[in-house]
Amino acid sequence: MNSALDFSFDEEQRAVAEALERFCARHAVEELARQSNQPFPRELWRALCALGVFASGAPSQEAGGVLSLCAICETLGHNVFPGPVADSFLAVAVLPAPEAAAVIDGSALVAVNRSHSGLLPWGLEADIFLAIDANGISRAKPASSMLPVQTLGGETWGRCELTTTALLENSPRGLLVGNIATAAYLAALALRLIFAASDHAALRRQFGRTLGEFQAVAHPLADCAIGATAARHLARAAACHADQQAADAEATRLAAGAALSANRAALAAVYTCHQVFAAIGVTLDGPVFHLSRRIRQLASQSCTEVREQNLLLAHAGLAPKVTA
Amino acid sequence: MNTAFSGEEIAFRDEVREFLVDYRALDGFYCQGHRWPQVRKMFQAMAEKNWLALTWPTRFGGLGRSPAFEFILWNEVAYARAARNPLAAGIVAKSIMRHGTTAQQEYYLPRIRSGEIHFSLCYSEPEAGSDLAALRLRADLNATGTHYILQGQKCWQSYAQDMDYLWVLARTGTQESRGRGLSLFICEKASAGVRVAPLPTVDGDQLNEVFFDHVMLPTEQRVGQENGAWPIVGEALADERHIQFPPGRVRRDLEDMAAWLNAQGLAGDPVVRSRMTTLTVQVMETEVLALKVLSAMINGADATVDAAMNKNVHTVTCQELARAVLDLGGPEALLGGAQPELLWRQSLTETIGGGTSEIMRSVVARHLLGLGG
Repeated sequence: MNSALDFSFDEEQRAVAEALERFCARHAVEELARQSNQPFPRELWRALCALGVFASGAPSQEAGGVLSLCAICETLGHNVFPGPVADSFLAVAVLPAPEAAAVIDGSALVAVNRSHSGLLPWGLEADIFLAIDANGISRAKPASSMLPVQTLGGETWGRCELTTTALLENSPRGLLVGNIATAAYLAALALRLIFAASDHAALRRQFGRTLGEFQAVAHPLADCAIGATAARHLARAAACHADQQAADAEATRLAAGAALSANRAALAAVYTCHQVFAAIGVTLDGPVFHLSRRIRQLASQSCTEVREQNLLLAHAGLAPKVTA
Repeated sequence: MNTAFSGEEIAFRDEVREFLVDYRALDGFYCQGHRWPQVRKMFQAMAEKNWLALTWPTRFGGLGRSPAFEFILWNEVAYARAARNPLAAGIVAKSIMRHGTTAQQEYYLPRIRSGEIHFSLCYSEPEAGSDLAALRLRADLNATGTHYILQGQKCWQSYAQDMDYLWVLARTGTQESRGRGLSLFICEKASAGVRVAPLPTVDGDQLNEVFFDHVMLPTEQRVGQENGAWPIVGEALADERHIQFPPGRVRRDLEDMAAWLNAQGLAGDPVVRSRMTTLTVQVMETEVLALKVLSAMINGADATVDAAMNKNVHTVTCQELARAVLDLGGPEALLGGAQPELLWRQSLTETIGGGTSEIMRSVVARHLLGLGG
């Protein structure tokens, strides 16, 4: 039988994505991202959860679950959906069934600590706490009161002391799912930003020509589009592999690569696209900052961990790091 | 969605790997000019398995396989550093199948399939590099209409010194007709009036200038209609998109650079690890973009943008790998015989040949983003 290589989503996955697009439009989701210092939109979050999106990628899902997750995250990323999207998929993959069910139905919100100082995105509203370090994912528990801290002038996170317990059993799968979800969300958001900047460059005229006719403008945008597209394909390939082979080494490697690729591509898009929008881009209510702020926040939370680095380098043949 | 090869394709990959065991030391990928007799023998050994005609239709003696088999073959050959895919079995043969006369098909295709004859592409000229439609080499019918007379110069031809035939793009219309005034010809390199002169390259290999001084070509040597070459050239390029830039080459570059850094005791350096992580991710991007090109071809979709993305990431990554290791490895990496220094010299050409990075970015900007860059 000849190859059936195909990078497109199937009919069901496309239908889910289209339904989510309509949901986001109906709830004017992007307007929320434009606002600063607003409380977490818990009702919107519950409405999203009511669609059952976070059930995708759960260990009990049938084949195709991780790829469906990928389609969902791409759509949510495209719409700058607020909240712990990728971390909720991670939590569902790693938590015991009763708690996972609470995350899926929206009755519990997740906050994941990746810092050394207990900095928790959406920590003020969270009900379930997890921590990720070089060893994997642990359950965490606040050991002090949660203090509000503002990030990038717009989103309020929480900070507190945390105590952690032993690693969760499904930690490898949680990391894999979390990396794919993050990559899919970031890549789609980056592409959204790149197309917005391209639309602007195709219309705005300076020196008698559209900005897009200048290679100095068009080529950096092309580079960004290439990077974000590659990251999106890597996330899909990792998801496809995860669905076919479970959490094997290859799926884990692809997922780590996808997360790092998306992180890099999305950040590159931020700087390039701000430059294309020029002064229009640095206005608070302009067309771009709410996209670039979300990318920057998510990129700072996603995996740039030594664990992923070591995994990729070992596969490439670079000797394991010698510790003093 | 599926990003994995079928069982049959994986079995073929394993067969190719077994075949390549005898050619691991061939080293014909970077500097084929130094290894042509051995590379030619390998192509002939492949031809015995009919691998040079993997995707050719069976009526032309091919195996009628999907492009996935061709991708697998040339990706493994690239990873083994054995050779680059021969243009005769690809661009030339597929154009002859589609646009050649019956006589051309009967004469050339069996000889190409058997690895007996090989071709060099004669497209670029001193004043027509990226802007191919500006080329000037003339092909004019003689007074009796039996022959074309070729007059002019080609430049930067790969492997022309070793090939048997030249695949010549020449101007038969006016200069102003641009792409609408070009025709394709098959010219035996041994023809009177053809002269090949070497242009030594920075990697120790060579490109060539090819001079045509009143070269008489029978009209039967024209492929396709007069002034009809432009779409043929475009189609042929599209036919080869999945094998032009095999990611196995970049994966091998990465592994070779990692091995060199290991040998230098640099593998534990945090700066080295950080930079090599970025490059490892770029190699993974190259691999997935190459599969995307292949997938588009298999599914009959337009692969123009995918191919431009793939070419750009592939070639930039092999350059950046070499640059990184020379940055990180200090003066040791400059020494002749060290893999990094050869990769550094060789990879300078990769962002130029087969369409410059600027052209690739313009393709993406125009076709994907709607920009006029």
